[in-house]
Amino acid sequence: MSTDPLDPATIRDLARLAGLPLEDDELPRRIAGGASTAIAAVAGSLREPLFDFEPNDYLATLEGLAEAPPGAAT
Amino acid sequence: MSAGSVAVPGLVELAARIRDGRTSSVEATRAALEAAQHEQPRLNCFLEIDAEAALRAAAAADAARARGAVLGPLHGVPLAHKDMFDVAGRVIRYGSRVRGEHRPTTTATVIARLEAAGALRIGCLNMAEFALGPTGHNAAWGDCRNAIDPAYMAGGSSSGSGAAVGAGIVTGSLGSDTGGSIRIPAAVNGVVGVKPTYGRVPRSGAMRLSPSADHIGPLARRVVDAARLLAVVAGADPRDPASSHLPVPDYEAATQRDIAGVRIGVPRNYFYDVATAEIRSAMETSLAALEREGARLVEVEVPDVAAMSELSRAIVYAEATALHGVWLRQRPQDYTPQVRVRASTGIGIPSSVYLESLLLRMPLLERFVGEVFARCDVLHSPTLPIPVPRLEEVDAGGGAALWTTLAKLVHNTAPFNYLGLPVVAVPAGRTGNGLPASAQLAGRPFAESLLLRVAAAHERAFPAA
Repeated sequence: MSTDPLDPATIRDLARLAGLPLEDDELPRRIAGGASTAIAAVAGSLREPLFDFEPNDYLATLEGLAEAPPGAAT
Repeated sequence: MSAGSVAVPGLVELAARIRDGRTSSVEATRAALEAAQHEQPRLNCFLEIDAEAALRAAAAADAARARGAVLGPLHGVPLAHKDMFDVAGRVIRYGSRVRGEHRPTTTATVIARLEAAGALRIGCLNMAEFALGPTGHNAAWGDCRNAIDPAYMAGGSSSGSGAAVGAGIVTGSLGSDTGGSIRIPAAVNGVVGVKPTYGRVPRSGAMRLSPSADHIGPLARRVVDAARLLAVVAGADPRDPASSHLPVPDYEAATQRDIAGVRIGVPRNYFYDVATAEIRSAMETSLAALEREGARLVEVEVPDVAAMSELSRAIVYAEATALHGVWLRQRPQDYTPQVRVRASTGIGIPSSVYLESLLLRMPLLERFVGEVFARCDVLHSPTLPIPVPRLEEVDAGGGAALWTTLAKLVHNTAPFNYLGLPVVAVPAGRTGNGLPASAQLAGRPFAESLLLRVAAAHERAFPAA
């Protein structure tokens, strides 16, 4: 997997398409740095397909894990 | 004398004194207002102090008591909250100049619940602009400073909440936590902070930074005070579809129980990776205190945690940029430079990566809970792995070292926002600079009662210096 960070020029292009003005060089550079790290972390955490999961099930997942197993403190 | 001074040690005690007539709400509110006016030049923890409205509400509270009205659990108690909770008719700025003099037409559910319980507000507290920052800096309204030593950072983004409670101006405050924003200000100002389970406290009418990672919770001087505030604001809300319908337990009762046999997990990996020797020593003392109270220490390997801060950021960046999109297009110049970068970083997050991060959360949560909380009941770690930094160490002009320090500030807090697990931060002595250390106690979903029970035992065994 490539570890090259996003090119700030790419950020500038995406921002222009979205109508978000980035008038200097520093802003795209810093956005590229933060986004690259986050993207790499997500890519590095993927181990299996995600077909079985649905974002709206998150609260239900939390509630389902709430009950402590027998013998655990509550 | 401030409301939180030695004579009035905390919110529960103050509420009892008002209830039984040992003090009046007007007296307590006047004391809080005097403390606020006195501390404001030193700490800048308020964006607005509203003495007239507060004293009017306090007089009404005293009149209600005099005529025998049913009194709520916070009757007549003066509080103040982060500038991000809508109050109908009041200017709420989200710590920014971008929102102008916007006056909401409805009141946030949590504020309405506090008011229904009898609490009143003495003003609006400073915060990081749009809750985007862990240090307490605010270039739009002025930096908030640490209650113990103003040369040090107040923490963020609930900077005013931490400083106002730490200085004893108010006995409790609501903040929000998307990456550590309740726990960090609580830690550095020497108070208790509770980030509840995702969905435990409704967010309707509160500023949204990242709806998938936002949590609202209390900061207070003592654990039992935080327990009371949490009990008042928690519970399902039809205005927030992401709020849980699970019943709200008696958190205050939990703080009275002992912790004999409770298994405290000590992480073998990650949480001490960047911890200094002083913080390690403070945590050893903290763990020894829990052991003296009857808890059992067990070592725990924590799965997947190293990537979770960044996984969380992928979500927060994407959602924040979406929420701020119109303002970033129309009036980018109204943002301060640091905050503009943070609000804009979602430009670089592909939608597939955002969704992957949201979907990954469920298997990672199941694995984390299954592995960690099979071996222990509560996971103990330092809230901050480093001593509280001086304000200038975390200034925008701090150079390359700044980014390393900022990353360390949220190193231990952000993973729990990704997972949505409950965490209580408790004072754990002082480091060599005289500022507080803090331990965070994390548990399985909706285990706030257990965490408050352990936190209260910690407080009894290891009172803050």
